[in-house]
Amino acid sequence: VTEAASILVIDDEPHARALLQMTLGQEGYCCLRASTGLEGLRAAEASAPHLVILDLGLPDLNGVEVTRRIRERSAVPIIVVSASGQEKDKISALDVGANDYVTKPFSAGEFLARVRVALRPFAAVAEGTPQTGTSTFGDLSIDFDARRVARGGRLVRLTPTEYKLLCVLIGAVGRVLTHQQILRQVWGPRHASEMNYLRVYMKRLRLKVEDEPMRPRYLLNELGVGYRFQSPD
Amino acid sequence: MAFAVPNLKDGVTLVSMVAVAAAISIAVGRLRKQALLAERQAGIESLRNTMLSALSHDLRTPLAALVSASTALTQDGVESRIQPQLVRMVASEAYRLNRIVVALFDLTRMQGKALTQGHPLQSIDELIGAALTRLEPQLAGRQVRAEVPEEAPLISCDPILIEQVLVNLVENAVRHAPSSPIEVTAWGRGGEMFIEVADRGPGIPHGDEDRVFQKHYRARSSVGHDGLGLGLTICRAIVTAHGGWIMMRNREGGGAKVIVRLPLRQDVFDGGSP
Repeated sequence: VTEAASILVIDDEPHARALLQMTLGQEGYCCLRASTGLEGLRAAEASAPHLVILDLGLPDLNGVEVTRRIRERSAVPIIVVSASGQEKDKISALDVGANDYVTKPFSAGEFLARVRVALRPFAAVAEGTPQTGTSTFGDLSIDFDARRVARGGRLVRLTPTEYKLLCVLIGAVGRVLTHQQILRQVWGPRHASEMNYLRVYMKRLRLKVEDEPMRPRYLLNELGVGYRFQSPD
Repeated sequence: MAFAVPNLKDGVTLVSMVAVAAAISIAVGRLRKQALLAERQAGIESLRNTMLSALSHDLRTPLAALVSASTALTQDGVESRIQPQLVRMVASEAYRLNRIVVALFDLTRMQGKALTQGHPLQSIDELIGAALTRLEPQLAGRQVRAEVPEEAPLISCDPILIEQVLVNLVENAVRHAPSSPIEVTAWGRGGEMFIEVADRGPGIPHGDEDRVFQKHYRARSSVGHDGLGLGLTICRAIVTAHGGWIMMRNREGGGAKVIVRLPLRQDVFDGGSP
């Protein structure tokens, strides 16, 4: 983004809003603010921001509802901010189209990293879009044309399902995908609740791709939510 | 079978009496099971209440520190020498406050939920992995061995709570066994998942094996006092609420180990020993 990216912060808590504005302002982002869900929806439409930061605990509208209504009209990236005890809402918001989340309390560094990822133009998103060429992340490289994966220069043999799982996650590099989103994309909508498939295949994939499968560098677990492919660079 | 039946007229009566006896024994069995469940529920309830009051009480300490440190910072003429100190205090007390709030939320999550049912199956290596990732700063430079056999079964549990158990157990080992390697292992056997967190620290004083799970128990070897003194109590509450069982023992060759046993869902098959 060449011009200063504009970011809409929807949060009813004045201190939290001011703090986010300060954090974002210091990085040169232009910050817009709204204190209710309805005000946020109006601002999202009127000023077409590059990114929306949405607190899930708004007084007037449920954050999931706000996400859904924004998504009906726009593809703007949305990061939801959730507190302990809002796990269900957080997952629902992601399922209806939010791009990522942060859990309160979070550090400024963690928050800004999420903002940078969300502002990055979307790479080939797995659903439908074919991935082409070769991508490299740390010592892992994927040749999409030859459907070949190598780690540290050595070929890694993946089954078709393992390969598909890896591609879906890489398609959203840096962003979290919920269990449902992954199951739907890899196994199809009828298997959206077959968590066991996902657990078993993720375990196998980690054994092949990670040095220490229990302390993964690439295939990160977002507890109770889903998975995130993290590029080490 | 010595079974005296008075005024027995015919076989039909005998059959119906046997049927009644069977029905009674089933009913008694069900009642006993209900009583056991009620007892367990009452145990969890009282444990939760104790922790709730302890944690609510604990909220005051960091809150008081936050108020005094932050008001000192806003006053004119605060010595520039102590400013960074005050700022650090605000940050560390805020984190402490957050730990208490997280513990309070854990208690809320336990409320009246049948924790072994209705949860999607979790893989134990992911839960261990998540806990180790969360503890990365505290584990820097520390030797950690985590091992789960490939065929370990999946468990039905609340992932957030069981991860919290693992975090508390590993944190406990870090605190009480400085510079000792830490081992985390898990395996399935006989319809149960076993999880073990072991260290090579000083071990536990003889006779304290059960007291360690009591609230505000502090070992003499404890380094620093940043802990809430509730970590292991919370672990016991969470494990009990899952229908499991937790114990701490000294290891052969020195050190302590905590063993957690969690029941597996019946449709999940057993997997290898370590």
